[in-house]
Amino acid sequence: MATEVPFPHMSDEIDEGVLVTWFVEPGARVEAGTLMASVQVEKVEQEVYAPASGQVLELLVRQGDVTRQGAAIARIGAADEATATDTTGVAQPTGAPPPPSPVPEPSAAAPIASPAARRVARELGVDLATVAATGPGGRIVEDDVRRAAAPPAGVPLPGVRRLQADRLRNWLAATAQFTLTSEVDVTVLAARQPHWTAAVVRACALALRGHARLASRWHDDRLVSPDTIDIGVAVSLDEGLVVPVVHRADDRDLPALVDEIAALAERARAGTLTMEDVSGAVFTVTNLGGYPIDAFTPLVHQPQTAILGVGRTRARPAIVDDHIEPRTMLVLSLTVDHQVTDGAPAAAFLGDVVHLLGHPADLE
Amino acid sequence: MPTDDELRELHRQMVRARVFEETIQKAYLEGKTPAFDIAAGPVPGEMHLAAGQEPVAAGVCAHLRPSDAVTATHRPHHVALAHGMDMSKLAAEIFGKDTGLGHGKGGHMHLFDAETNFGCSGIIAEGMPTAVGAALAFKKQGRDDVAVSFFGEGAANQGAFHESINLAALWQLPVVFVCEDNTWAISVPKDKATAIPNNSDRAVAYGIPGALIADNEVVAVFEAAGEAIARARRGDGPSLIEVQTDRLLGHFEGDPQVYRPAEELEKLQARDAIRRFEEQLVAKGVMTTDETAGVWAAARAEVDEAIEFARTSPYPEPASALDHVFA
Amino acid sequence: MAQITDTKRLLTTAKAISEAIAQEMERDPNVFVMGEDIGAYGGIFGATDGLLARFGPDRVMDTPISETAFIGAAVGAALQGMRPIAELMFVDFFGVCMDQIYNHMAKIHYESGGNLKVPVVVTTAIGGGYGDGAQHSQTLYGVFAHLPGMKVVIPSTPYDAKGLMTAAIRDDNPVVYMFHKGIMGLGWMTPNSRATDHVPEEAYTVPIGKADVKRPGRDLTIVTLSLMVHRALDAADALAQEGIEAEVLDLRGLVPLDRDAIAESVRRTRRLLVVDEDYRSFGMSGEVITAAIEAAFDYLDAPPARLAYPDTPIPYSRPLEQFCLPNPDTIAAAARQLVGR
Repeated sequence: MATEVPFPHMSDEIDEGVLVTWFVEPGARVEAGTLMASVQVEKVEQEVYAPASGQVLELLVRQGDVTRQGAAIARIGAADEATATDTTGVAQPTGAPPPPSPVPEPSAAAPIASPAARRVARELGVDLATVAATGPGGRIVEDDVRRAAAPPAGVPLPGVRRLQADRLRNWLAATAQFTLTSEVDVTVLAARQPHWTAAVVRACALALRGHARLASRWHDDRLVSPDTIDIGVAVSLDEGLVVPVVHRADDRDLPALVDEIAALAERARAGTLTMEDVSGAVFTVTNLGGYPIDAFTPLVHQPQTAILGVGRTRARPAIVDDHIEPRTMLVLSLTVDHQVTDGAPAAAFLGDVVHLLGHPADLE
Repeated sequence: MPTDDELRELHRQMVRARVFEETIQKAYLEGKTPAFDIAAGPVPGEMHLAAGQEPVAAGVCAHLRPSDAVTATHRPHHVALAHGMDMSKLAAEIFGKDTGLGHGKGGHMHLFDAETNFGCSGIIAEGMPTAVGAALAFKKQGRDDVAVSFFGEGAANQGAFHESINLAALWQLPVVFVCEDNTWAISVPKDKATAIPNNSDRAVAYGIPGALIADNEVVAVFEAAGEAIARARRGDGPSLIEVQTDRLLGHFEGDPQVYRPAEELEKLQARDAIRRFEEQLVAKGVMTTDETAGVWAAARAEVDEAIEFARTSPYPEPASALDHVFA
Repeated sequence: MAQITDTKRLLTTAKAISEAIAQEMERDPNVFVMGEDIGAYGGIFGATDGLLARFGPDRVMDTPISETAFIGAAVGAALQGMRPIAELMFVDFFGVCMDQIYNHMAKIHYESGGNLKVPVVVTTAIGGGYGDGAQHSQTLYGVFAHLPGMKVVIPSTPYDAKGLMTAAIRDDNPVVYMFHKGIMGLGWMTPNSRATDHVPEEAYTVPIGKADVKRPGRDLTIVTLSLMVHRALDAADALAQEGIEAEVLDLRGLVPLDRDAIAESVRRTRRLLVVDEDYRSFGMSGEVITAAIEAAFDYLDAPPARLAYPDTPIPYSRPLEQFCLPNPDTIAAAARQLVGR
């Protein structure tokens, strides 16, 4: 009677484990306590010892494979014990030994498919090699073909969105982005009822003068410092996000920024933005303050190295001189490419922006 | 006692049958020599010829109308002809032609003729129940037609023989059972197969009259058959007639007959029933030798014409093999 | 399923058969009945009940135990223009008279080149399941269906039984009419609610050689006949509870075989299960599967399956016999496996 060797139970939270190394081969003679294998669950390793003496009949899991804790990983027994076979199937008495059913070995190229599946595949122009089989014995059945032929649910991305999606995805994968948040007391600025986006753009533009690295742009694998501080302003349209660029943002005062941003937004909605309107940004500002959003994790736009997300302004309780006061607060979220700079310099820049927005006299 | 006309008719029927059988024998062997191939030639398959047994057919069928039912065996030609079957259609069926009785589907052992109410079967004794059924129908239909079943002495040991006679006797059916005892059931002689000497003695087991005709004598057959058929027509039930007759040829053509003593064939030929009868007719002045010769000539002409018809008739279309499974 | 409906009257299958015979005997004086115990007894399985009293011993004839003689006599009488019905009491007895059936009754029309007709009906009782042992429980329709020249008719319901008997008597061909003992509605057999049903009073025919969808379905086709139709319907009811809709196609006979109906059904459901109370090998189930493959190969979504009586003589002891017979549970299990659940 063969003895099964189980994968040890090592965790209550996780089912699976990995068989890292076998120290025996089939046919090896083991005693109770012989080291058989090394296993691992969630970076914790453990040794497995033979529970009985005998010959290793069979290794049930390959080295490196994932299995379940508690599942048998090997069998130990007497030298002449055969491998267990599985006899299943509906008992159909025939009165004579059932004749061997000649199942032809399928060639690697030809999938097994029912006649109905083949007919439908012909009719719908489906290549059976691309169809996942759910029938018994790996047989492709008709439903499998129909499923394969059906267009996936949903609609494809429209071109503009697709392009943007590709660029965001690709840039995210090509960078190492992290986000810092900070809450700003903008009570003083709020009293002036400013154009918030323009105010933030001005603050960033001024701050970037002292933190040029955050305004770098990648060109292949080289960082290029900016000549001018051109800041992109994200505009949300029905067909997706458009980011027109305020060129030389640091040279424009607040009213000029307001006008420029309004004009760009108008052109964006009208669909009349020019190539120059959307090129050359070294930094981007994206404002979700019109929504109940505080902190978020904006994604850096290719080939820039940073982006500032703007949340809503809200009356919040704040501590002023040891007492609680309602103040207008605003959360800023700065996402930065870690390849270019680190947390401290990024925080310093953000700190400067926070200071400017908190002391609007310096924004003029 | 038959009238002179009846005697002449008996002679004519026997001669017709003999000439037919001898002619078929020659035709059958065409294409099968020098090496015998049963499938070759214009007449393939088995052939069972009744040369020597003509008196039985002639003597019994003389009393029958076309509407009387007759069933015969694998050796049927003499009975079929005596009962009035068209010789050309018979020959054409033997040659497997579309103009044959069954459009070539039946062949020599499975002849069925609606015009003369004739059928035969290649299964020993199994034509007897058919005759019983015909008699049953006649009784129900209020006809005074009778059924006659021809079978061999070998058939008398088959279950169908006993069941058929019992049922016919039980229900008083108008059927006459005629046993052609030619001694041989293929190669097994009667005394090695039958527990008693004469099957006519079995009649008493079923409560019906049994008659034994010795010596293949056509007039004796004629008289016994006349009695039995009249009995049946009257509604007095079935009878059994056993005729000791002679099988001059083999069981089937090609049968080397090694089981037969050589002298036996010589003896049989020496007492050929047709020649004996002829001699008696001439001696009694019923016919002259010219007249008897004329009967033979007429028979040959009739047979030649029938065979010619058979040879020149077309074969059926091969695909017609699928026709007539169902009506 | 087009049928005349009569809402009032219920008949057992046995009474439906004897009514059909009686109505034909009234209509045609050439029809008469022969067999063992078919007169005074009314047939061991009730198929000729009441006929002797109505038509007398000349037309309802008890015979000696001489199957060769009286079935052969039926052939002989048919050749003379009559329309006999001869009962072979149990189909298992065919051995003693098969020559008259398959070599004579079935072949004379053909051998005569179509010139002679043999309008005989051979009725016979088939089937088991009630402990009658190896020589009295067989169905054997595969044997008769295999041999050319005779039609084989096998009803499953009282309505079909009457219509098919009338059609068989009127048919100019030899017809072997096989009725399962378990569908006759006999008081001395296990009760069967499907053995009694509405049957129209007037004479009518059911066409020979046409199958009937007894239960339409979507997920698989169960092709069967005789008592197994009842079992398949029971299985289909159970399967419906699980959301599996089985179509039950009653062949109603084997010769002619309604290959078109088999193909049409399988093209719709894509899956075939044949249930056969005759021996498994070389018979009805193989033929039906082949018919489906030949006509509807491209519509099969699973290999055709069969649940048939095993290739073994029928045992007497109840657990042994019931093990071998298809029943609603095994039919449903086979259906589930076919459908992949």
